Amino acid sequence: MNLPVVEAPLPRVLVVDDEPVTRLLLRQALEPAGFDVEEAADGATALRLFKNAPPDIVLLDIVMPDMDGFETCLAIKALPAGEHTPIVITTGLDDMSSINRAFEVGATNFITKPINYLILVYRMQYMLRSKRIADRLRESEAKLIQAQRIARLGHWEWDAKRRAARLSEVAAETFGFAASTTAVAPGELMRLVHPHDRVILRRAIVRALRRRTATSVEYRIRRSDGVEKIIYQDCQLTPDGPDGLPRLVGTCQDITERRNAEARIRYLAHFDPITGLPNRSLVRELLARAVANADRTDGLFALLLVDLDDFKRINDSLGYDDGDRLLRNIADRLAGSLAPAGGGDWPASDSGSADALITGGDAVFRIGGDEFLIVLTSIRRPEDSALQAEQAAAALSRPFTTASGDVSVTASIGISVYPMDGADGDHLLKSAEAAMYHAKKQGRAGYQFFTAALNERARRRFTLETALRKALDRDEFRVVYQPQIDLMHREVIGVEALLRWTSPEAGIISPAEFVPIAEETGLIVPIGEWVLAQASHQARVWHAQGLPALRLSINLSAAQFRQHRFAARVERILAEAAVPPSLIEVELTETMLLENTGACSRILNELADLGVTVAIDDFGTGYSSLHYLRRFPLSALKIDRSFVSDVTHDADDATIVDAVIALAHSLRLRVVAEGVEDTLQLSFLIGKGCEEAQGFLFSRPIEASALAGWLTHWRRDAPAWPLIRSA
Amino acid sequence: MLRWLREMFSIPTPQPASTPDRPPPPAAMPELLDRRVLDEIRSFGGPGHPDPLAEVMEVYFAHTPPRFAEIRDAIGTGDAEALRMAAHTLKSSSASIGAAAVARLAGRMEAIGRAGTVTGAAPLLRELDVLFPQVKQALETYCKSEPS
Repeated sequence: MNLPVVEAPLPRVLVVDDEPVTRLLLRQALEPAGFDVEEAADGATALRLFKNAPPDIVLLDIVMPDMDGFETCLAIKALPAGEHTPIVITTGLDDMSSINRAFEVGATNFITKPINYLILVYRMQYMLRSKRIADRLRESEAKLIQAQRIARLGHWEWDAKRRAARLSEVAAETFGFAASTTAVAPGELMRLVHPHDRVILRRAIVRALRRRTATSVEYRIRRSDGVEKIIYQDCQLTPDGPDGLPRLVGTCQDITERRNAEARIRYLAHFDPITGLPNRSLVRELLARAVANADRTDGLFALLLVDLDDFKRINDSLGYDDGDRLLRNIADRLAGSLAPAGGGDWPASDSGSADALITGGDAVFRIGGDEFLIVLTSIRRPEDSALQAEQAAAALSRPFTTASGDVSVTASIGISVYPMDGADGDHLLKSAEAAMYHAKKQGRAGYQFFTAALNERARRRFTLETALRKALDRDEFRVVYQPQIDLMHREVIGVEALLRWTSPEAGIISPAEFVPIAEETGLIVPIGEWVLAQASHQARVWHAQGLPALRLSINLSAAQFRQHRFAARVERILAEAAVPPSLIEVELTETMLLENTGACSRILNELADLGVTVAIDDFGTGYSSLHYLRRFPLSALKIDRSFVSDVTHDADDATIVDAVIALAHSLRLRVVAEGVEDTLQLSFLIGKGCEEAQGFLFSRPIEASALAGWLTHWRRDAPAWPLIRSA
Repeated sequence: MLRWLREMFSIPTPQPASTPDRPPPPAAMPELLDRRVLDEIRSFGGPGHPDPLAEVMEVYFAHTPPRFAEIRDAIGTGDAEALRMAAHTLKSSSASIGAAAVARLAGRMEAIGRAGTVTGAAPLLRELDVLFPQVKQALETYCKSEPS
């Protein structure tokens, strides 16, 4: 049986010598030793032969005409295959300087002439063996680098001596350094890491150093070229460095694409591809969070199920593309109808989690072909969601342009409110759906609350809001005045101006009902200004009638207080009415002072500079802070009527009133008691040293025109109430 | 021992200074050939390659006369660099083939050329002219001899 003999190719040696005898002798010596010999008589020929077929080893003479051995050696080393080919120079023993120079230009080894051929052969065989090992090492290193490049896997090692990280080529590229970058200072690397991820990375490295186990961490970087990457890193302390010391080594892998793909998958799973809105899959999670959030804050939230009326018919009349475009427009308008404070900003496609939605506030979902769900977390009262329903309806009311002409879209909206309409997301959805069907039955294009009573409240609120917008113009407001009594001197010292509204549509409406609406709509600003102007004018009238100058207490709202140059406006109004500012006392609530203490301090000082005094209204009902009492230029505290009404039969309230009076006095503030209705209360207050009081015991709020008559009556009949109890 | 070292490292035998126009006085005659080199060349032979030495000899005798001419020209024109190159080649090939005496003389001429002159080369060339036929004779004799 004959087996084909496969012979390994003989190692090829290129002999470069201008001298033919030497070339022939080398051929004769090397061929029997198993070399394939090629000859070149000069450097140029050697280079040409080398380029055609790089040999395994080169024997190179130094002294040659034209291009000598040094030049030839340099030229070979510069060739791609020449870098790793061993070059043995041949030279006379008398020429040591040539040997040094040959090594400088890249020769691998040398042999002196006359040549000992036996030694030469051994030496060449040894060099070829090292070259083959080096080649294999380089090849496997190249394969490793290639494999790492495909896997985007780089590695690094901490160089304790240079205090720098030594990076592999792939690692350098991953971090956006030139591939030739080998050592990078830790600060330079850390600077690329996302600020939020730096702590995580530091901790991981510290953990690796302490526990000596592989520690993995994921972090984001922004490279100097602006590209953002997500890096997965493993690092470990290995006990056996070349210097016997432990060393920190690690791998880093660019997992950006994988993460992006995952985000994309998540996005496709949770978001509607047509409208970009989150789909039904996120609703349950979001509602669970909304419930938890509402429970924690004692708040509430509402679900608005928006079902497009007769949408199937509209959609069928349009082409696919046109139908999709219409849906997108509808989605945009619904999203745009959310209050900007709620969350007009849509979660970026990479967030795709209920987390991002809930923190954004209000959210719109597409939960069916023609069904959208709005979750309102930013409401304070159930009827606020009716406002959103109105805004959603208004957003849809403008016609939509399609390829087949304008189309009108209306929606039936069902509203359910947590906690009254369901204890969890599923129940709330069912309730919203039931309310939506009710809206359909009511003739579509409208909204219904699941709780019928809320429909009434929502309608009333809208009626009031609409009426309130017209009330100033239609002159439906008036101001009444409640006298305030100086208890020490039993004299009328001032009046509190109080706003009253009589609407032709809704009748007499309590301030408790309309003031919150005025505040939310911003109408409180013009109304408040009107009250100040009206009261100032009245003071002028009283003065003209010869009435004594009475202090005028006026309530301020937060919105007014936030107005630009508020003190200047007050000054102007008083100047127009020719009323001295010292007659004016403004009343603020504690909450207003706490909202923006910096600005408050400035405005109150401006008012104080004018001569206007400041009283704290409803003291004790809000969040009281002794700090602001000292900080602001205040004149008086008004004790809320809720405390006063019970001082005679509730020990706690008596204690509170006692404490408030003592506190006020220690801060040199006057105390005004509100809602004094009987003489027992009055005796108590006088006993505690309260300076002033107002209430039904003295007078209800009265019309401006009735004040002169009341004063006459007061002077004649007072004091109808007990004398000051002696201590 | 000293002679052996001189042979090994081609150390020139000390000689009295000579004038260019007279042949140098006959020195102690060193060995014409380096037998170890010749023996080694002969050992390259193998099956299908019976006489490597004859092959080398042929190339040597074909290429050496032009070197002599180059040396002569270089001395004639005073071209030190040409002298250095030609002498080096002659030294190299002669040493390779074991023509030790020729290599020694060529080496001295190379040194003169490397020093940037041709002065003193002419007598060496005359000496070489005398020596070379003797060397050729000795080599041919060696070739015909039986391997030791």
